[in-house]
Order: sequence, then C-alpha cells, then structure tokens
Amino acid sequence: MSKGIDLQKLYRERGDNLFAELYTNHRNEFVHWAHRSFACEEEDSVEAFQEAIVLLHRKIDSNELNIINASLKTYLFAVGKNLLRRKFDEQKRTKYTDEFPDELISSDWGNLKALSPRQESVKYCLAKLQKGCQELLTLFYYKNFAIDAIMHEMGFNSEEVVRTKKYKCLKQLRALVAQENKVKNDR
Amino acid sequence: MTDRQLYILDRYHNGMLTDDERKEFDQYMELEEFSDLAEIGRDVGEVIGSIRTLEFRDKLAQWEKSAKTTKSGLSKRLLIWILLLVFTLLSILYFISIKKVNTTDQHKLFTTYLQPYKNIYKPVSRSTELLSLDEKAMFAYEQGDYEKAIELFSQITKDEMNEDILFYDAVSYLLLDNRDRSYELFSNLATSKKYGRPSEWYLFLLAVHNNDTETIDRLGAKLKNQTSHASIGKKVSDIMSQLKDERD
Repeated sequence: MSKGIDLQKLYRERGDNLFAELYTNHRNEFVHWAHRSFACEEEDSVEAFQEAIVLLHRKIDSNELNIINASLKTYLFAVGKNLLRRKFDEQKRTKYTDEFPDELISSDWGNLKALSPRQESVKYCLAKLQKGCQELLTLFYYKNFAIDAIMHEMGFNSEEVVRTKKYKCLKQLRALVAQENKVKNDR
Repeated sequence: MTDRQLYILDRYHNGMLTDDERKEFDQYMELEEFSDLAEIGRDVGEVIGSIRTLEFRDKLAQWEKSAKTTKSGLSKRLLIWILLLVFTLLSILYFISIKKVNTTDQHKLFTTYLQPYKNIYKPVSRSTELLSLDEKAMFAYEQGDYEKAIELFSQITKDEMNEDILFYDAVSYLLLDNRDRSYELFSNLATSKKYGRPSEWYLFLLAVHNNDTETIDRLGAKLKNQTSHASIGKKVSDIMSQLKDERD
C-alpha cells in the first residue's frame, strides 16, 4: 500500500517554492480545464485557482494537512473545482468529478473568513510582542505543535518552561488587547 | 492560573479535551482570566493564519504577474517571429516573381529582336556553283542551316580566316543558342571597323538576355547615339524604352 506524500517534509524542504512551482506548472492547465468544464472566463478560473492554492497553503502551513494519497495537483484541482462549483450553478457541473474527487476535500475547505474587529485588535497587539513570543504562539496556536515539539523546536529546557513562557506571552497579549480596547472605547 | 488550568487550556486549544476535562474547562470558564486566555488563544490561531495568508497572497500576486509576463512575452515574441517569417516569405516571393517577370520579359525581347545578320560578305546566287568553303558556309547560313555553316566555317584554315567569317560564325552560334561562344567571338570583333557595331548590337542583345544592366546601359547609350547603323540605333532605342517602362 502506498505511504502517501509527506507534505510537511516537502514543505520543510522547499518552503514556498513548493507552491510557486505548483502555481506555475498548473495555472494554465487549470484555466483550460475550468473553461472546458464550467465554460467560465479566464478571470474566474484564475481567481478560483489562486483561492485553491491559498487554501492548500493554509492547510499545509498550519499542519492540518500532512499526508495525502493523491498528488498535490489533484488536491489543488479538487479544491478549485469545489470553488467554481459554488460560484456557478449546478447545471454547469464538471464532467471530471472522478478525476478530482470531492471526497478529498472536507467541508471546512471553504473560503477564508475575514477577521472580526476583536481579532483585528489581537492582530495589532500581536505585532507588539517580542519575536520569541510571536514564534511560540505561532507554533502552538497556528501550527498546532505539541508542547514537547515546541520545546525541541525552540530549544527550551523542559515542557514546563514552554508552558510558563506561553502563559506569560498570552497574558501579555491579553493585557495589550485590553489596553487597546480601552483606548478604542475612550475615543 | 494554576498548572492544571494551563494544562486544561492547552488540551482545549489542541482540541483534545476528554468529557471530564470538558466539564472542568466549563467550570474554569467562569474565571475571567481563564476565559479571556481561552478566547485570545483561539483568536491567535486565526489571526496568525490571516497574517501568513496575506503574506502568501503577496507572493501569489508576484507569481501571477510572472506567469502573465511570461505568457504575454511569449505571445509577443511568437507574434514577432511569425510576422518576420511572413514578411520574409512575402519578400522572397515578391522578388522571385519580379525577377521571373523581368527575366521572362527580357528573354522575350531577346527572342523578338534576334535576327540573322544580312549576308554582306558573300551574297550567294542560287545558280552560282559553290566552289570555296566560305561560300558553301555562307550558303548554309543563308539557308538557315547554322550547324552546317559552323561546321564549314571551322574547316577554313587560319590563313584564310578573316573577320567576315568570324562574324557570321558568331551569329550562327548565337542563333543556335550557344551564347557563350558567340559572346567570345563578338567580343573579339567589337573593335572591328566593319563588324564592330553589329557585334556590339549582338553583345547588347546578349546583355538584355542576361539582364546585365551595366552592359545594357553602356552599349545602349553608345548604339543609340551612333549614326553608321541607323536600324541598330532604332532597335536599341525601342528596347531601352521597353526596359525603362518595365523598370519603372
């Protein structure tokens, strides 16, 4: 049985070049395929392709997608197909559903949500934190690293130190957000 | 915050709470700091994702720009090459057709004006008994049997050879389409007092056939302005005029 593709290993080795190659190699093919399948304009298909690659990036970058059994191109086209299908009516559904199976994509592969006003405040305050704090919070809350993995990644002595440091960073962020909200409310 | 509370918070953010831990979590949510940290922790994941996606979109825009530039650059280069190729082919076709037209027209002129030169050397009377080789040759010439004339001319010894024989020999070669040999013979006669002008006329015709514009212009000007051979002057003027029309 095939072991599948280790996306995290690929991403660690190649960084964003992985997506650059994916984009360059398959953009025109997707545009042609989308035109055949949905009779859509290039503008729509390019937009769908870009959104598909953004979603794929988010899933890999945040460690949500690790091992896949189909090729990255198949994933990409399946996401793009899903986005185009949402945009166009059901009568224009693609004939190539078997080629890019729907099962690959779970329901949470939707469009990325815009930040709420509260999250905008968090974003503003996050930038004020020290780089070490930003990295730690990124590893834990975005990349979903376990505490022991963060300990190794950032060179801490123990998991306890990681937890304490994380708590301090989050507490500091909470204080900054509260202060920011107060300033906003005072205006 | 206790270590236990921090542990439960981590389990919550990792999505790993057991049923018992969920109950514990719900109790801790009554605490302001705990609930704030749970909420901020959730938001941090979303916010960092948003920041990284924004950065990624910038790169994406660059890739798209590059893809478009490559595509449009390729299309432009391809279009330029196609246009150059078409232009080159059309130019070649144009020059071939022009040259063909010119060549065809000049061949026609050559054929139209090419006539045997009148026998002024030894006019032959049909009743005359042909005694000498040159008389026999000139008789063949007058009969239009140029091959026989050439054969007979060639039998004439060097001592008996003269420019009359050489001239009619040259004309015979020309009428048999051996232009190289006739050119050689006419060139040797170009300075002859008797056959200089007629030789230049035939050289002029050969130049017309070969589209040798320099010789056409040089000999044409000379022959047009001469007065000793009026018929040659007129024919040259006609040809020059027709050539000028074609060139224009």
